[in-house]
Amino acid sequence: MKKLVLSTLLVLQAVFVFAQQNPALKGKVIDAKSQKPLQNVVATIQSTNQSALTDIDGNFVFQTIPAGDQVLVVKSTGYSQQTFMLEPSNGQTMDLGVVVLEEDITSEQQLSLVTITENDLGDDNSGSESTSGLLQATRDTYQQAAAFNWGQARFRIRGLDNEYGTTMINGIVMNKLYDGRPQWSNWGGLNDATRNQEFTMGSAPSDYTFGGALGTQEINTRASFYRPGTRISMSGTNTNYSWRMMGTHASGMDKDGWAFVVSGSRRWAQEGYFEGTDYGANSLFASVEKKFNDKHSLNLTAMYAQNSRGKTSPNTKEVNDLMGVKYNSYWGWQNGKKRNSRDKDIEEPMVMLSHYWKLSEKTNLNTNVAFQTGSIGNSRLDYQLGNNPDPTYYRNLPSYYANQPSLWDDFVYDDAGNQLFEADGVTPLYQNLDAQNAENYFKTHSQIDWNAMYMANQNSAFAGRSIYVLYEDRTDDNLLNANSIINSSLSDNISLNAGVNVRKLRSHNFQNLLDLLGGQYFSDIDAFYTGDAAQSDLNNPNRQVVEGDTYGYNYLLHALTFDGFTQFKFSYDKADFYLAQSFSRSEYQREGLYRNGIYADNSFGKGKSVTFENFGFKGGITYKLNGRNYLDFNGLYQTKAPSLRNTFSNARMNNVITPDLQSESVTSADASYILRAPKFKARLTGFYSKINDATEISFFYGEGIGGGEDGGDEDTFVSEIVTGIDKQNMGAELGLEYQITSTIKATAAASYGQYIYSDNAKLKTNDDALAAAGNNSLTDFGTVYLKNYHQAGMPQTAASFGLEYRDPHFWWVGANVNYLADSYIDIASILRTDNFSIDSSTGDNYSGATQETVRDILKQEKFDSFTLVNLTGGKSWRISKANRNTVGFFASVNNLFDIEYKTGGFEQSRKATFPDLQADQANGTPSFGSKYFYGYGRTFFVNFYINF
Amino acid sequence: MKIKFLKTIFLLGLVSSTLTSCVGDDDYVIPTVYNYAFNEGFSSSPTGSGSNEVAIALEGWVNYNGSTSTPLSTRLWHARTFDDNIYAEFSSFYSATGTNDVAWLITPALDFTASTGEVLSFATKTRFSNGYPMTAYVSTDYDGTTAGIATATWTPLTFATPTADDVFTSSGNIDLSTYESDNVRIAFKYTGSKSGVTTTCQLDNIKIVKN
Repeated sequence: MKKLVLSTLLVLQAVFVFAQQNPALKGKVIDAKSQKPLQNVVATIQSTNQSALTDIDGNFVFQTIPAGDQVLVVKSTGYSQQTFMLEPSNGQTMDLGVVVLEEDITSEQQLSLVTITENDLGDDNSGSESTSGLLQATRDTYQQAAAFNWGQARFRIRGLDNEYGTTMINGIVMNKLYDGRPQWSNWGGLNDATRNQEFTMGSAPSDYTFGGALGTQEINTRASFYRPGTRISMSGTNTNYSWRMMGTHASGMDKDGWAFVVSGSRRWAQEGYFEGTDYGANSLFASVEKKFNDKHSLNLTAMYAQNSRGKTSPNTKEVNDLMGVKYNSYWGWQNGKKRNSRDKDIEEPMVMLSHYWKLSEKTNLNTNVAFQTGSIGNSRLDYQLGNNPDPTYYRNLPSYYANQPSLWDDFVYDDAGNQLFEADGVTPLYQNLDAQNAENYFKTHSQIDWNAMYMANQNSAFAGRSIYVLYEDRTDDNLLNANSIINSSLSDNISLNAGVNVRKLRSHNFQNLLDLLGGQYFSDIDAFYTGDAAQSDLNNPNRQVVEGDTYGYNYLLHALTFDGFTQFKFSYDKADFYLAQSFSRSEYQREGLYRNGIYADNSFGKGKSVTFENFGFKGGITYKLNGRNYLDFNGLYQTKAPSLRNTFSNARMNNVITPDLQSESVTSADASYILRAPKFKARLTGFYSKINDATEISFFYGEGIGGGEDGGDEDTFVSEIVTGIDKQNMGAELGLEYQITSTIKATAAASYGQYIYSDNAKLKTNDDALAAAGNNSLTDFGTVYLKNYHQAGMPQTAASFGLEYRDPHFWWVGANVNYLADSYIDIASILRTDNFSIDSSTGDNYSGATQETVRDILKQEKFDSFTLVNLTGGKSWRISKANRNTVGFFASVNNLFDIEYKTGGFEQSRKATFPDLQADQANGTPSFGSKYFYGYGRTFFVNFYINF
Repeated sequence: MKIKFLKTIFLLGLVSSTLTSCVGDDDYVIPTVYNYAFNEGFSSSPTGSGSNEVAIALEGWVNYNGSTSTPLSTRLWHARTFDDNIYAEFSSFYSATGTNDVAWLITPALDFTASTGEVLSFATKTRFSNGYPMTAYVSTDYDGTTAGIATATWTPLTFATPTADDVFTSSGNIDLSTYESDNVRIAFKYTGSKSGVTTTCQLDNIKIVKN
């Protein structure tokens, strides 16, 4: 080993000496408009991925380049890339002279159209959004289509959730420990400031992390990397917000070694695309870099992104048919204003100190320390001794009455007042006037009635005690995050990346009383229970709480994680390959701050801590058929610790660790054929991934599940624990780009996938009511039959075709048409257990349950396919000959033909047995039908900007 | 040339691996639903009480007392109800003095030729036990007549019997998958006498599950 290092060093030395004498390739990059040199432009020799950055004078140098014909690509964010064909001759320096980069006017689209779909999938109070994959794309045609054209329909690259990707800022992992997903809102509105990004797809190697099966996204906020200048933009749209203003200034590096960037934005809407969805977001960003000498630089980054928005409700078909797809049941009028009862507030600022240390010409060490603190709140209505204030509560809907046969008891009369009969002339015709009355009532009372709640609180049976209150589920996190990444060229052909990352999280979760709605106090009890079981905190029973008080539940989650990786990359004439390995350790613990009355023994104080140790291996090879044709293969195996969310199955109540919990394992592989010709670029990839032993926890009200009290209204609030979930995602993706003329470009992209549950899993429920009655709260439902059901919430087939015209006079237009299909509803697991079909009292099939009827009623709903057409265009003007000051605009219309489409939906779990579900569906309008999310109809986006 | 070959191989491999192993929209598995070749819980049989015995008279069944005593006993398996559940019952306790009982209750002919994995189960309960009275058989050559009972080949079945009175006990799963016949009959035979075994035997939920 020592010998190897020594000889390696000697070789390096030799190369270095040689290189000093005679560089193989050099050039100077300038901006087309300003004619000024451009710093930090990346020049890459395609066949080797060897790259060089331009210095402050715009110069780049390659000491060596491989023999044979080569392709050099020069690119920088915001500029059109330049490609050169090279024929190097030995020993002589090739001087490309001046390379002129033109600003890419279409990059305005990338800065503007980051589509975060705003619906929360399910009723999930997690901090993170479920959004379409990686949001901003590189120049890959396929990724661009995925982000900009399919993102609005919640397309996910390779059908994988964000938790299988790694999002980083300066190498610091931004995926939340709680659920493994990044919280995009933490840097929302900072599009200018986060534009320096690097992506990898699948398990391809990243210089910053080991990563997962989906890919990595690295945002760099080093101040000297930003293009100097000022940029101000103003946008109008009709999506989740109406207006956006953004301003950014980057200084560039001055002669004393200082560079800074500041950016700020505001986005707001009184009402977004869906009814009652207000929006307000303010974002600030600052980054300062001090270069001490050639070896050391320090950078301090601060980010503050505050975001408050009203959520929109998923609705059943019954409700959407009555009210339209823009209907949102979460808001109501108060003093002439629309007030949303389900707000999401995010405010999690972070600071990050980065040290860049150039240990040698060949080795760089980057160390970062970040601290993030703040809160996420999701508001809701709470009530005791009153009626459910939800206007779509099932007893308020016509289906509740229509589904009661006894209410079909009203005679039918014609306009003249004559009673109507069946064809026999004797049997009277019947109608259900109660259902009709309910429909009329619902249509005029379809929103939250804030005034009625204030009145109810004033007339409370106990003076001053609120019946209705508004509270929020709060998560206040303190996260300390440190990493160190080394990057070294061990030899001409071998490079090493290695990193370590430590994270320490203290997460405070509690119910925070926001508004007593006119009352003087709220009683901190669970009115569903009596005695001790009704107490949320036995240490402090029968509390009267007021606004700003914590009640209900209150606990801390502690997490300490460590992970490290090493990666070797080998680069040769015919092939590049890499090998990487990772290790991680995660330690989780819950600490209860309340002694819950149902779980007096295991809810207060620190619970057992649980530790997971995980590892991963990956490797891959790029085989160069020639300078234009490549074959690329990647393979990954890793185990992955469960998220905090899935580790504590009943975290609000007790310290219990999810039964049967284990790490999941992830296997993935992909193979690609890549063609890079000057006019034609293509990539075809086949991919496969297998996830084993995943865990999912969800909460719902259910009927007919345990407790012995079947049927009627004996509903019980349960948490559902599904373990041993196996998923298989396979498919192919294609990206084509053809430059028809110098101004017209055609692009095509397609993804065909099959994302399924590849085996059955295990299901248990936790029912607090059982525990309150002194029984075991866990019920084992055995096998949940998930095999060959489709994973939900994304189109599994997508295709796109686009044309773009780019005029030399700085304007462009584009259009694309997109076909999206094979999206499925999220199935309710509890309905897929034997409890659904077998009557536990007889051990036999429920009456009427046959292979055919059960198969029929459990068929997974497949959403209709749809086609979306988008238009984009823009123009920019130079406003001064002396510099590159420009003004411009960018405009787009998405979903031109206003197509109505479902982006997702979920089955309700409440009717958990065959006869119950069948009865609920009997007349075609179930009381507990599936709920759906819809995509935006026709939307526009207009953006004006000035760069100077 | 070599490049073209490699490219072709790669593309073919990709396309074929994607197109094979496709899962259709109807390939999902569902929770357990028993598929019955036969299922009789006597829930449609009229019941009697006390000395009023209403004999089981279901379509295709044979209910016959092969008593050999003089006088002959003519009592038959009859339907009773308890706790909203109807079942078949026989007891020699109410037979005339000096008689014996060989009470057969035989299922209709069942066709096993089109199915596989046939598994029989039934439930029995005893009361006032003084000896266990019931045996169960399977036959493939019974002709369905009372005379034919004596000439048919009856293979005895092994099943779990109640260990205590007054509890319905499952027979356990009895594998009949080896009988590939369209004339499979299951018989339950009560053997007792007024002076000997008089245990009350109740029989219910005779089920044959198939694949």
